[in-house]
Amino acid sequence: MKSEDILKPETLARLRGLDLKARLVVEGFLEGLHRSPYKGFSVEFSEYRPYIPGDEPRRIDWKVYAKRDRFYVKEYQEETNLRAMLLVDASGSMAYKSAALSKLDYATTLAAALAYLLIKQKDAVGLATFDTQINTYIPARASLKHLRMLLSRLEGLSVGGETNLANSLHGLAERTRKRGLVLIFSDLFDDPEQVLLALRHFRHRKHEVILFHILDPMEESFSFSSSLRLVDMETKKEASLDPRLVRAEYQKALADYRTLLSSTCAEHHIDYNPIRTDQSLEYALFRYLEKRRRLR
Amino acid sequence: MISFAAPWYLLLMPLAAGPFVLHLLNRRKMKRTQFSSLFFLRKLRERRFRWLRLRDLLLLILRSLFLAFLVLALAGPVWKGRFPLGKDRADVVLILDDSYSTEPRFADLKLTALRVLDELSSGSRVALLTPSGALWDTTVISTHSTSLQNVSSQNTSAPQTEWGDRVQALTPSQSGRDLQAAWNMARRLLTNGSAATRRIVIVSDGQKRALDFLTREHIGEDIEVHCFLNQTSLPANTSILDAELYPVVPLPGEGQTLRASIRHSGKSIQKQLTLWVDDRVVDERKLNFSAAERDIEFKLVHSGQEVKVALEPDSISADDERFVLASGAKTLRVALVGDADSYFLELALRAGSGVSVQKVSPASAATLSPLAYDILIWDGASALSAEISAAASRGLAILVLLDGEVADVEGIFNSRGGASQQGFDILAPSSLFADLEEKDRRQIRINRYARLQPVAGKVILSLSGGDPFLIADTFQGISYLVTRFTPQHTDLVYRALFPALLNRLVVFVAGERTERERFIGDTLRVRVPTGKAILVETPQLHYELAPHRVGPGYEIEFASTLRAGFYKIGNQTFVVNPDPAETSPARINFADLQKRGIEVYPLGVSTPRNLWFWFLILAAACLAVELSLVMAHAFASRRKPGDERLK
Repeated sequence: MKSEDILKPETLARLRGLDLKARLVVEGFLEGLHRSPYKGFSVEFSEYRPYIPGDEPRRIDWKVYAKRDRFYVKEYQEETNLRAMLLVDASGSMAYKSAALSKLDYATTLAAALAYLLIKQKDAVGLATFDTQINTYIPARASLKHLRMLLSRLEGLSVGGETNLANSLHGLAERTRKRGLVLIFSDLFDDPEQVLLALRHFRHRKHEVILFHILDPMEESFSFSSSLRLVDMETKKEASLDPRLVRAEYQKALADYRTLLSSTCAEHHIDYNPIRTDQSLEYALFRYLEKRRRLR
Repeated sequence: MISFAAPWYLLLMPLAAGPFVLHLLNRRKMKRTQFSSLFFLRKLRERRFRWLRLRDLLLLILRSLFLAFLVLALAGPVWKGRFPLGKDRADVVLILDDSYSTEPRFADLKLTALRVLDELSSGSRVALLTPSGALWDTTVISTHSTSLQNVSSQNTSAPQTEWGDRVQALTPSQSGRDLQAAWNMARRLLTNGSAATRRIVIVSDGQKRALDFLTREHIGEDIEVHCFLNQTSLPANTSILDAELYPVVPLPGEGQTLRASIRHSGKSIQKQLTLWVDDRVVDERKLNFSAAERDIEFKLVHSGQEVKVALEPDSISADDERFVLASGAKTLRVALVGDADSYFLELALRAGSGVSVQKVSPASAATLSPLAYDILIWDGASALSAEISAAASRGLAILVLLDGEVADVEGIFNSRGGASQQGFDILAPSSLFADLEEKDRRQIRINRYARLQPVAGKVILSLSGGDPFLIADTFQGISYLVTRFTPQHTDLVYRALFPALLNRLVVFVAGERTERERFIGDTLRVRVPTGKAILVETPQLHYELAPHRVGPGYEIEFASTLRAGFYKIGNQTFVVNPDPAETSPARINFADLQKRGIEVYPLGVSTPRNLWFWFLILAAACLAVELSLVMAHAFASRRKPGDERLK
């Protein structure tokens, strides 16, 4: 199996065991990373290599330049005491699935992979799950035993009822006192004003926030073909409609919502990442590493 | 108020609820699908869903309305406006004008008549009259009542549904009678009416000729008179007003010409005019008619007895054909009373073909039978004798050739002038001399002349300047020629012409009495020698009628002249045509009638209106709106899903 294949949702859907998925994802990702510009964000020295145009000048080792009269760039393996919290939305709407993975499966796989990656880089990682309330809160630690526990919790995660995303995020912001990296995995079906207020709460606590806005492809396209009665997976409320008639309006409402989230997040230095469950996990991992690089 | 012609179709009305039922069934069958959240749909609900629900409801209503309107259209809705006549119990005589000028609007007239009948309250009595006599003998009686009056032995008591059928079955007659006789009958019927309200209702096309008598008639206060009249003008129509053959008696070797007077109203049009002689088409012409009167002439190359000229039928078909009977085929039997100077006249008469002359004494002239003679010629009368009057009263055609100074002819004329020595050209408008060449006209000079003023009669042939030459006393049926045919009285150069002219005059006068034109509805009377049954041939049927005794002889009376054409009674042929006066486009002035206390309503006021067409239009409108909504829907649905997917 090629390394890039393992990152595809349809491949992951066929795999059993979240720890296996996480390991395969991270290894597959790292294998691909050797050929990518992301190599070099570690703090542990790895090797020198000749400078090539495009490298940041600050990464030139001037001592070597003095000795060799040539530019060399130092490469490191990262070593840090970063504390990361993975916040996974387990509300009813996250169980929706029209592609290979449900939103919750996609979120847990991504969270597991990131936990694996974080622990592998000696970072501490914690986990919180929530729906209308905080269901799980595991403080961040950096041991392999802790990783297994996290993976076990993630694997046993099931959806709850309605979301009270803002309330839960406020609670989590209050509980996560030490500053660190907060990674949120949610479909964000809540009042955007309240959600953004909660996100700003994390920023107020000096956390760096990466927001993965996970949506199912069907939620984005709303491509139902005939009249139907939609049942809300959270509230169980029903709505009879002809989706062909509301599709354009629905998509516009979603786009407006995303635009609002995107602009407000940018304003508050929150890394907003819309992501679909049919997209490769590689994209999410890149987004993490990008953020990680900026945190260095 | 709306009623329905076919109300059983309304049983289909529950179909209109079909869309709602289908909608509810579809709702129950609608697929339930789990969806993550109605979060965004809830946001739309306020704006879009409200419109969508409204649109769905609108579609349902439109579909239901479409079906409802379709069912209503099938049921034949009829709108009956407020009827102007009261609902009180009344004795009513309804006169429905069925003269042939009503043909273009006869359906409306019948609808109005039916409405009058429908609106009668219980206990009312009604008689229905048509001037042509088609329903003359019918008295229709409402329920709970007895006959209004015995109109005839054929009175029928008919239930209300039968009225409608009988009125619906009526067609416009070819009669051109006015409504006077029907009015008189109505007055007689109502004389013995018992209801507090007595009413005559006239339904007519409003032709002045038919109704003009009402402006002179005394309308009693005890009778209400209501008229439903057509206000609109007659549609374009072409009428043959008259057709005549001239010369009436052709000279040897001389042909005959048929002159048809045709009047057209409306836009110019091209029509075919066909000439028939003895049931054979002998000439056809395509002619252009504009809104005017014109004469068309046909030279008759084929001799025959029965001539018909016909136009292509139009809005009024009755006036599109005209029949003419050619005369001269039979021998004219002349009784001549004269003096010593009459030898010249007798010679002239005997010289003409087709004339047998029998000299009779003045005393025996009074007892001459019209069965034995066609005309009595009294040559050289200076006064109206008792014998002449007696012969005229027996039905014999009389031609008197006046002798002496005309002013002295006692009891006939008032003389206003004296004798003239100059003589006058005969420039008559009549067809009697129309075939003469101009030079011949100048050569016929009359030396003796008196300016005459008829006491009671009409000028048939006038001299130039309008002075009478041949005068008819239409009251007694006596014609006077203001000259005598003697060598002394005329300097006619071409004496060979004289017998033919005389013959022509005699045939004309005899024909005035025996072969004058009859109109549809006229009664034909023929004297017969015995009481033996006689065959009567009409354009439709043949009858065998028994004559009845009249005075010393017998007479056949035939009144069913319902169609134009030739009627043969025994060996006598009559020609019956529609009365051309009926084609007059003049309308009665409503104000003139209202001044007489007559209530006048336009025809449309009471005419029930069929609404099925409008309901079809409404159904089509519903369909159009629905289609536009569905097409808008289809257009919205054609947007590809995910068009707005974020990259």
